[in-house]
Amino acid sequence: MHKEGLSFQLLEALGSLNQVGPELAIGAGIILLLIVDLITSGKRPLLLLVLSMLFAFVALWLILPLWVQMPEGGLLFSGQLIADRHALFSKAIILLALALTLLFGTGLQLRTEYYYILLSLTLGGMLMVSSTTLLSVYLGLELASISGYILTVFGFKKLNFEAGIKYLLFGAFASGLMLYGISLLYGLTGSLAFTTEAFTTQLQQANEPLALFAIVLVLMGIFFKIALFPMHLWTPDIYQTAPVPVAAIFSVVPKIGGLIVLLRLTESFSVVSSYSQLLIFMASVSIVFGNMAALNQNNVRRMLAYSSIAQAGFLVLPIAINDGFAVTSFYFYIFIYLFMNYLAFYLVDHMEREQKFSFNDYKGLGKKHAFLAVAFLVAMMSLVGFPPLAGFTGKLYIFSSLWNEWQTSSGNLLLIVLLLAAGNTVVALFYYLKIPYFMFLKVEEKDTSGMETLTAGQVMTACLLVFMLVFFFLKPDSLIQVIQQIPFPVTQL
Amino acid sequence: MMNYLLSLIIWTPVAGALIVLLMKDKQATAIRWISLAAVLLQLAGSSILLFQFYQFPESSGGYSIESFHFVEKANWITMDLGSWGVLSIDYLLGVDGLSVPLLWMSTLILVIGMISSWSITKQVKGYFALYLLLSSSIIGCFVALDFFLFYIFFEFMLLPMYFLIGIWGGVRREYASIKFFLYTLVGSVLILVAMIGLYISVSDPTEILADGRLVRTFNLLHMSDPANFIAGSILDPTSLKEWGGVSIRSLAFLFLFVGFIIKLPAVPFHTWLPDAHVEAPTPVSVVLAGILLKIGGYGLLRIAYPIFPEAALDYSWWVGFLGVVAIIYGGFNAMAQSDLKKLIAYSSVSHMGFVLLGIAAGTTEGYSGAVFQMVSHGFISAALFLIAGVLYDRTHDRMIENYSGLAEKMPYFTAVTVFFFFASLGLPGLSGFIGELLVFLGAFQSSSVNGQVPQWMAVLATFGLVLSAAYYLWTLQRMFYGRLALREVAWKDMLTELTNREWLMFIPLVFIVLLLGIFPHFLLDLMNGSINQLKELVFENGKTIIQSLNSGGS
Repeated sequence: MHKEGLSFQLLEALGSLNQVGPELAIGAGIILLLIVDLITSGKRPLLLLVLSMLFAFVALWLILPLWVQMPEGGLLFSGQLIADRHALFSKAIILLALALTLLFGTGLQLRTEYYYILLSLTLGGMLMVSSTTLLSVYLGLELASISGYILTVFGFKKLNFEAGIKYLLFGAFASGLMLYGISLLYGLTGSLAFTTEAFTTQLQQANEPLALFAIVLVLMGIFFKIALFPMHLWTPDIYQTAPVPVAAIFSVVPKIGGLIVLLRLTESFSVVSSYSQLLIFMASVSIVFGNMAALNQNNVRRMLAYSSIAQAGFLVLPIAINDGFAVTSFYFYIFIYLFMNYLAFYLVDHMEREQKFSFNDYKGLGKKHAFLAVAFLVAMMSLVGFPPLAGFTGKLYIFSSLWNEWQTSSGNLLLIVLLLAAGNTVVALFYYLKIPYFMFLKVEEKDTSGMETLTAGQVMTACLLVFMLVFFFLKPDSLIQVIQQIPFPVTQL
Repeated sequence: MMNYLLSLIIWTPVAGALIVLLMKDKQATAIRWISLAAVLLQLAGSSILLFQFYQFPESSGGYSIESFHFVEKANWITMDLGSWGVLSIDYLLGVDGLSVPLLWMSTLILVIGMISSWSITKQVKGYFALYLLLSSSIIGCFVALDFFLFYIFFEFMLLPMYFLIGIWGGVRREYASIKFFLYTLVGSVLILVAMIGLYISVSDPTEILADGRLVRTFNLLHMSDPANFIAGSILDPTSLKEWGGVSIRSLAFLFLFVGFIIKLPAVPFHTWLPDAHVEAPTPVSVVLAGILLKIGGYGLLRIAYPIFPEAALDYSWWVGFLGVVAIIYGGFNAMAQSDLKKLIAYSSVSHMGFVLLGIAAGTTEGYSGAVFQMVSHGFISAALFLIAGVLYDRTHDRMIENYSGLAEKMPYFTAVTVFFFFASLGLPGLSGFIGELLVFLGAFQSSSVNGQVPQWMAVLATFGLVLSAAYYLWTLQRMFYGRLALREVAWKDMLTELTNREWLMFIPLVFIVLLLGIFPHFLLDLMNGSINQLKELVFENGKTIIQSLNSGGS
């Protein structure tokens, strides 16, 4: 069978369709929502919300059969995408993030466009995690970015536009760098399909400084998505000014998209000798920088932004190590990260509706709003990595994978990284503890009796997230069992 | 029920806390009684355990799970991590002669702390719920035999403590609570790193998978057997991996050591203690000094020493030295304090130095003395902080110079104070004397028996006795003797004799301090077997490892 014929390519594309069910569902959702929005002329936000939720769950449901049928996954669309379990698991996280984001929406006076742009951001993330060529990576990344640019300004205030423009300019810059890197890589290897052996062997034979230069450029584009130092500059502004649900989805979907791309790329890039060290170094710098910068923040969301830079460092460490144990711990942590981060943003959302933005505004709230304050405490303690919450288990695995890798390596670099990362949890405690500190230890100055308590729906959502964090602490094996079904190493073709 | 006695002791307060949380803040009386019931049940459970323990024959044989009683074991987490092996975490509880005295002491102090908490009126519900959570995690620390489980209890303890100091504390409570949290978290993180290294390096000898993969375990007893270390792992006793000339095993020992002496606390990691004590409300001070500090010493004996015996022997000079420094430095600091609570806090630092010195000496007397000192200091320091609390409750002032001639106004209170001051400074016939005596004996013998610590350390440590006599007697003279003179005239009416509730707290303590001082064998018999096992283990394994390293290295 020759692969050049148009009919063959069409047939292959058609054959691939059944494996991109989740993407198709979200794609169909975007179109349907667009039509419904046109018909109802933007007056039925609740309908759109329900429809988006429906599509999120349909897409989630479509992942299940694929997970069972395709343990190894096959290339789709002439090798552009792959539907392996890495992709499926991360798609599930992305879709869960979408569903959780939609839970925010009801109280927010957003325009109806919000919903389908949210879906297209999700679609972008889903494309990223299944990409096997640099071209599809770029496509997914841009889809996510462009949706992101629009979403950031949805507050329609002056500050939103400022942050949005910053993000746009910075994103364009990052994309440019990345494109240049891609073109260099293409020149060096003659291929964009980075999971192929041809790509790897060519890269190995290439001039090392040049290859490293190209790799660094590509990494810049990815670091931008995962908010890793030094491409983190947009993070604080966006986290602070974008609508809270948008900030929440920004902290998970582009991050996991970028991280999975990084995971796949690492498999090929690690033939360049100093690549892993570079990645470990950037991750460590990110951890230290994020934590140090978070220490001095007064605005809760800015604190969360800097902390997410540090958390990104924690997530990149296991990818840089790149062995079975490390990748397992990576998936565990990102899955838990979804819940703890959303819990934090979910509560922040409520606070902001009450016009409370800085730590000072949180003073003394623990007394009257005990549930809210305890839920905050759970979110923050889990982010620090404090037992008995799943964040602790996640950090434990990541540290373990560092030690485990150190055992097989010759130097003591990884021990230093381990100590640095572990030491940084103490730094992190200081700022994460600020919220409980202000809520419980400080005495309120202004009268806050007017503040509304959480509604029953909000309490249920918060309870669900808290439950997840406790459950996966008590029974991490249930999640690890699923993660263990993801084959490692990432398929090389 | 006997089979689950330890679980009952741990989890009863959690159940109590849940009930308390479901009640309304206004039902303060009911909340107090329910909380008291919960800690009383704990005390009842541990008393049953104690009396049963006297019936058991002294355990013979090596240090293994057979030498533990009331063992509970259940699989908690089993994770198949592919080719790497299986990770297994057990819910493993058990007590031996080392943990039983500390366990019983803790439950009693928790009851006394609870009675002392009766005067708390601010946010009653939150206070008692946190206190009960604290009780659970403290007891969990003393009975957990799985490192993971121990660590969870050890770390979780910080959170209720942070709030108890931070919300119900004194003027600088915010500063003190965050300092406490950060300091002890540094210790926890060091312990965490050592724990990770250990479980990756240790396999379970009793569970071998059919396909030959290893089961990594957190079991502390498996970790204490050098044979269970996986060949080629970093913490394997024969491993030659080092960092900057220090072997990684020694480094891991230092992590554990520093982690635990921050809790103990020993100089130079002690500065959180005076702050925390001064700001904490009386019952929290009682629990902090009476129990929490002991977890540091317990951790050294249960975890750091048996697992890294060769490093422990290697560093014994430094351990002893830190102990002596703490004794002297703590003593001098105590003498310079003008705040009664701070004085007691520094005296705690000084007395905990004896624990380090005893452990460093490595003789049976040294180890026994260290544990005896921990138990005895638990009772005495609790009483001392109650004494400071009695004054503070009445006048809201703890400055020594603001009081004089209290004996005239409060004779019974003065008698109690004198009793505990003398107990603390080591008057023969009271429990403090026995602990310190044993430590001295151990330290003096050490140079001739095993050469762990030089004699001058013991000589210098005796100087600590003189110091404690000095600051206690001087305080007595300034505050209690002489003519009645108070900072404010109104205090004259406020300074009333001990109430019934206060007597209720002091009487059991007086009784036990006397009992242990006159019949120390009640405690010594209890722990002798286990202490000997532990000592044998540390010295045998330690010497074997050192020999094999020397023969391998040369």
